[in-house]
Amino acid sequence: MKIAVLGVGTAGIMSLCHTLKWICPEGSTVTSIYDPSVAILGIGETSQPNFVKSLFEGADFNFLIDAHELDATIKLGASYKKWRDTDFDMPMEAPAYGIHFNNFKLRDFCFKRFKEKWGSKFSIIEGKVDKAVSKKSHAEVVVNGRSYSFDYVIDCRGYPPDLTDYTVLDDFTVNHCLVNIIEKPGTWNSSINQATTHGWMFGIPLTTRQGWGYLYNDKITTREEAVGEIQSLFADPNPTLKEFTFKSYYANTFFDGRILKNGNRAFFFEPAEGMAGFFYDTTLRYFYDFVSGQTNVDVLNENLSRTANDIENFIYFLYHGGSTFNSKFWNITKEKCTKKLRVKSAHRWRMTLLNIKKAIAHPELNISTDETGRWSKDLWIRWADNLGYDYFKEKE
Amino acid sequence: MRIAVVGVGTAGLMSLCHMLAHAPENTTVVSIYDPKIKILGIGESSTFGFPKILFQGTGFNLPEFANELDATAKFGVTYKGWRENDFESVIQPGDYALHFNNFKMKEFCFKRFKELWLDKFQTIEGTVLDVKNNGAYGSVYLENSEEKFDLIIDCRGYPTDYSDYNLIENMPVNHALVHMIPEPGTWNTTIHQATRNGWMFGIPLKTRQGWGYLYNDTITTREEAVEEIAEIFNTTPDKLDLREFPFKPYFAKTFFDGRILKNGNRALFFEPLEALSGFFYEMALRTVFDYYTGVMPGVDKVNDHLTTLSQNLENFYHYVYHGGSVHDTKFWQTVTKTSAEKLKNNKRWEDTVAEVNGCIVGNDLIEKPIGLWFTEKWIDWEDKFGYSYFKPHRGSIYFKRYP
Repeated sequence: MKIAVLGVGTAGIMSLCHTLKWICPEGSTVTSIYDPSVAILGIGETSQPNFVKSLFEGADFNFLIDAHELDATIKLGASYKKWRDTDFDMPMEAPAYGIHFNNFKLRDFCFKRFKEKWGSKFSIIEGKVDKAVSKKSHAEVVVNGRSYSFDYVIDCRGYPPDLTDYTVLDDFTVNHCLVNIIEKPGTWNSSINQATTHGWMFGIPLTTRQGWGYLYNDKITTREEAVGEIQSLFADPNPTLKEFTFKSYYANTFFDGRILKNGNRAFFFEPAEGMAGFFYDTTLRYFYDFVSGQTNVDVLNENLSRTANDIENFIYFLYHGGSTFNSKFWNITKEKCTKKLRVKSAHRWRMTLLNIKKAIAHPELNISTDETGRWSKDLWIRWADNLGYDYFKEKE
Repeated sequence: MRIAVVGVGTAGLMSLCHMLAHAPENTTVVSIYDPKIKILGIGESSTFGFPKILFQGTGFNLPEFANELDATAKFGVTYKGWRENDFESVIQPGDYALHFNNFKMKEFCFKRFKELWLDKFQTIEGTVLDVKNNGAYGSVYLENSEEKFDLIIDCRGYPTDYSDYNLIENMPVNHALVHMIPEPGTWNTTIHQATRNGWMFGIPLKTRQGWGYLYNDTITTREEAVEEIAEIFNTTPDKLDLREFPFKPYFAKTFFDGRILKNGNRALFFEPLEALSGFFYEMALRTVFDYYTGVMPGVDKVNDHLTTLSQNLENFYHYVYHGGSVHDTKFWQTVTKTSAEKLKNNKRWEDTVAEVNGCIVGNDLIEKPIGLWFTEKWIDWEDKFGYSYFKPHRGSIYFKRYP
């Protein structure tokens, strides 16, 4: 079997780790195709335990010995500040941990390991991808005018050039990020999610620096207002800021039988709870099911659409109770997210709630997290308790 | 169903966590203990199964509850002085184990049990005189009463009589001297440092460090041991405040009789290398759970399984020791010889080696549990200790240090 992975951002590297370890039978090859002149999008990333496991399986990464290679720190959960009167933590279920890491270093580290670990199974083609198209019996990738044939291609080339074949969430929560890098080590062990007047801010600790991302909605808040709050939060009148605007979307078709979209090519929401990494991992697992004959293209697409819907609903769930700020952003967003969860079309959310309640009332049924909106019933209860929601009260 | 767990040391609390989390609805889990009995506590290391069982039973997670147990994350074991190059035995990334203060465990767990499990969890305080299988039920005899249960997990610590136990001769160490340093431990592995007279563990807690110097009192005198400890900590023997624990290795001939499961030190005691006792406690609980769910058919199968596990533990210790350390001393000369003898013509060990070799297929490894470890982990041990039991293979990944 011949597999190509296009792109070497975090999703591309995860896809390489996963396919090298799991998908290829004897004699198979995995080819990384990327354009070295394309800069990856990097801030300092947070991850879930599955990322650590994937990196271990594909690149022999182990935190104890290799943390310095990725500036990595351990992540034991997320700390929510100013979302409610009392700050709270959402810890990972012991004994699992994630890491915070420097994704600018990820490619070099992994490529070195891939070559040593997987030998000729792993290869690299550098160049600009002119096109990637599905044929009946294979997928064709044209790189710098030269055509290559693969059984499957995982497309992780980042933001789609056009969003025609995507579901775009026009009226989502935040759509703009200002990143402030502090050149001091981060000494805490959780991802900080701090509510602000105009949205929220993540704080990621790396061994050499801290990455802070101030998220806001540019339809509600001006850049000047956002910068003003950053200046105040960091007591710095002249912060050096990097700027990212983004749309929230997910693909209508993730997989056509030959080409699988992953990473930002498949899905982009905002960074709440590092759910993007979870989505990438889920995509790869469903792909494994497909390649091993356990599912078909339609089911794979349905499952990924449901996963995207679940993440979307979770983000509404998180926001719809507001924060400690009584501001324009929070008033608008609270109302918007509450509506999203209540409208007639929110069928998936109603099913999720029903299944969570069923899982609470009947733990012996072992209802899977596919049915309970991707979190276990215990974590949903914890979310609800911390956020002061009463969705599950009567069943506790 | 009514289940009793007798004793509140680490094994007792693990048993309570397991039963509260996994026993069917309408089960009552009763902790029976004598508040006058002190638990044996040093500062403990664990395998990754421990935080998992603690999470299931108490909702424990490290960011929230580390202070309550003085706990730090453990990502592996650092071996110092066992070979020319020090090395790590790494827990598979994605999971951590814990270092914790077991003096604080009971209070933390009981508080959480009461909050989480309400009436499912009950306690009886009193002096336990005996536990007995009465056929249709098991009895716990207290000073003034008899309590009847469907299942009793006996975690009362060291046996009072060893007639129903296999005493293991020629285990390398049998004596521990514990030294506490009232400063936080800032590392994230359990240290296993080979010494002239045995080895020493180092456990980092949030508020202090626990160091345990292990030696064999038939080879080394207490004075020699204390002298080396003083040397290691750069002090004089008179300034050391040492606690002393002599021990003898053993495991039960019968772990389970259909009503009573021995667990913790009541079931088995070897030594603290790699915190494997905790792994045994967990496996004992899983095995009995499998018995009740029909996966493990019959009491004999439960005992066979746990006996095999005990023998695998014993063999692993000899496997570690028989290659010696960087020290060329009387202790190491003696134990390399006795441990090598123990492995020689040892059918179970031969089976383990054969099974690992069967999983090395060209440049690939078939990953499966063999004895205590998965195939990959056996390969790791082999590489790091420089042994040559196994066929040529592609090398290890767990400890691998890339250039």
